[in-house]
Amino acid sequence: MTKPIQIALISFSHGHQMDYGRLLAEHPQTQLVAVGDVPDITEETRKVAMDFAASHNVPYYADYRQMLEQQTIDAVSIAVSPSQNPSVVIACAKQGIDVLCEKPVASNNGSLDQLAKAVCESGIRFTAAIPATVFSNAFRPAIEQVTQGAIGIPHAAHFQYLQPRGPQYILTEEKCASEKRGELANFGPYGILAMLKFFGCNITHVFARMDAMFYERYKKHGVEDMALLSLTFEGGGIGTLLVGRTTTQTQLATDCTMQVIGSQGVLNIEQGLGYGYTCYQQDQARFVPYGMSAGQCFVNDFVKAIQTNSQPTITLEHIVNCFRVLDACYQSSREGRVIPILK
Amino acid sequence: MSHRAPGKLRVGQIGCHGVANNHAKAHRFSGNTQLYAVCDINESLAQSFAQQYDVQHCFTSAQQMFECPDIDLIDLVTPDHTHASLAIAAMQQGKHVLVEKPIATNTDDAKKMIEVAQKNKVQLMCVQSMRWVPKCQDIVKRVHSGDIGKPVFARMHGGCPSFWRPDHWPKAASEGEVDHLLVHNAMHSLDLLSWMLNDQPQNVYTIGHPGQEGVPLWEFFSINVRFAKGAMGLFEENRMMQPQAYSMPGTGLHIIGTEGTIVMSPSKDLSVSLFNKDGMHFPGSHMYLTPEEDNFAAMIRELADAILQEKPVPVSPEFSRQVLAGVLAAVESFRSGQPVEVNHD
Repeated sequence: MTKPIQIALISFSHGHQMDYGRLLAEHPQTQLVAVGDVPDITEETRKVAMDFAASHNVPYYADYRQMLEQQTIDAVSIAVSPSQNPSVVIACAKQGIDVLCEKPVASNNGSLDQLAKAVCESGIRFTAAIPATVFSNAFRPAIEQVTQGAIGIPHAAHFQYLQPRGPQYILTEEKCASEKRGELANFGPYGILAMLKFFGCNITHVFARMDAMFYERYKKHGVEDMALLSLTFEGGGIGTLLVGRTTTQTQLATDCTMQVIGSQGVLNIEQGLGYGYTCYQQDQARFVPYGMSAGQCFVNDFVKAIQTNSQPTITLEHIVNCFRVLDACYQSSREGRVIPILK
Repeated sequence: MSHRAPGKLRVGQIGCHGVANNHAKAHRFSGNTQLYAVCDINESLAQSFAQQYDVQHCFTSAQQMFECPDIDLIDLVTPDHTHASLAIAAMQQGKHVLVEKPIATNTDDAKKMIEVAQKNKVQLMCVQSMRWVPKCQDIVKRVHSGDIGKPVFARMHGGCPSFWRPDHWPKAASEGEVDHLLVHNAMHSLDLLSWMLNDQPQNVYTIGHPGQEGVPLWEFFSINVRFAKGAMGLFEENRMMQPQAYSMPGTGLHIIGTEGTIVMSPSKDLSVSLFNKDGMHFPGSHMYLTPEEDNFAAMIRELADAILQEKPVPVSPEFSRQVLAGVLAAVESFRSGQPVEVNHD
């Protein structure tokens, strides 16, 4: 019997740690050894981490660096703020620890470059939490079909991800003020990654419009709750993306759809979050997938990559590409022009 | 002069190709128009068309038709570049004019057409037949009555129409006009979105794909729009050939407001879903129309009513001119590769 992969979780600053981090910690081939934190977090967030450690009977470290020194760790799940991600990833990479990181993995191009350099030099496996589409029960087989030529060469595509759950899930006043990036940064990577997978090549140019259409808090800070992108790919393919955080009245369930038009056919994804059912309640909708959730598939993929010494499905290259495209979208929106993507 | 039916306008239709058939059929069922004469420079085509639709008078000269005192309304179904000159000539002879889209090939010509209509006290309207598709009318009624709050986004899309063949528009292709699809067809989509949003395009950005190898015209365009009041829009012009099994040749609409969403699926039954604070609604489907309900017939009926009752036409030519400005900006954007501000002057 192989030794379980030794796992640590770093911070619960993002709610996804309770999803992907928990799934990783509770995976049958892993063993949670510790929970760590970064300085300057709220007491509320610290308490979530401490409670998680206590409930799993592992030590809690207020400073993750101490945890890295004292524990033998194979892989971590990081859910700190975007500006803190690079330094934490670099510290883990230096110790040869594989990383599953919450998105966005950095807050600017400079720190992303440093992160990418550290990951490449260390040879660790690195992936980011962008699983909603490419690991869903709908997208996984669709990507496989298109990659195998089911619709010929992809020429044009449209992706849409409109999540309501407002106002209770909208960005906090503090995040709006500090990060200056809204729901495009949040949901855009799902679509950009799906596009990269379907087209199988990189994006060369972007044009973006974005605005605060629904929420006063976003308007006040100039942060977008909706964005519309036009993309051009190597080889001439084109794509459009609509992402946003609408109101609960607008739609109860996340509207995730995609259409890909190829030289020999068309592929429609009408329930992008996968096959399942949506339970509509008074003021919320809950999607329950048939079979394995996208999050579980994503975590399984990361564990398998570690076990087989291979690359995860969402690679550093995908993550860097997504980041560059997003960055160019914000620049495009500010300057009102088409922006080429730097390689 | 033959007997004039009361409450009916006599129509002279110029052009007997393709969509001309939709016009001729619509005059049969409009209830207040009568196709009185047809005209085409191809005499045998004009004669067979006249015979097919039981029309008494046949012309090969537009000018002769304009001089015919029995005709009230000229229905122009001719190539785009002829719209302005023919419409102006007809209106100068005191005829009302219905002109196929685009209203003209440039906004200056469209402005002249409007001036001539005003000077000669006749009505001028551009064909925007999509507005009379029952589902579109139902949706716009809901949007304008505030069912989804303030509209902030609208998208129009669809598969390739079943009638399309790549050898269509060979003339445009031979003249190197690779963006002919955009020039010729975007008037429908942009008019519909502008009408639904009760707004005009302010800035547009166009990307396209040439489609199949060997087809000289580009077959796919996607236009990203900012409207004057702040809403965003997206529409596609799609002529990429699709497999026969693909069952979504219709038009899809998706309108998002601050308090609701309306979605019209492009699938065969054109089903509509409305989500708003009052819950989910699925207004009944209405795909299969009787000839009387045909959208061309309904459009012509409403136009003829406006002329007979001396009311404003249902689609003002100035609105069509503003939409044309948006379409021309979309073409310029495609050619320049950058977003373009719409010139509404």
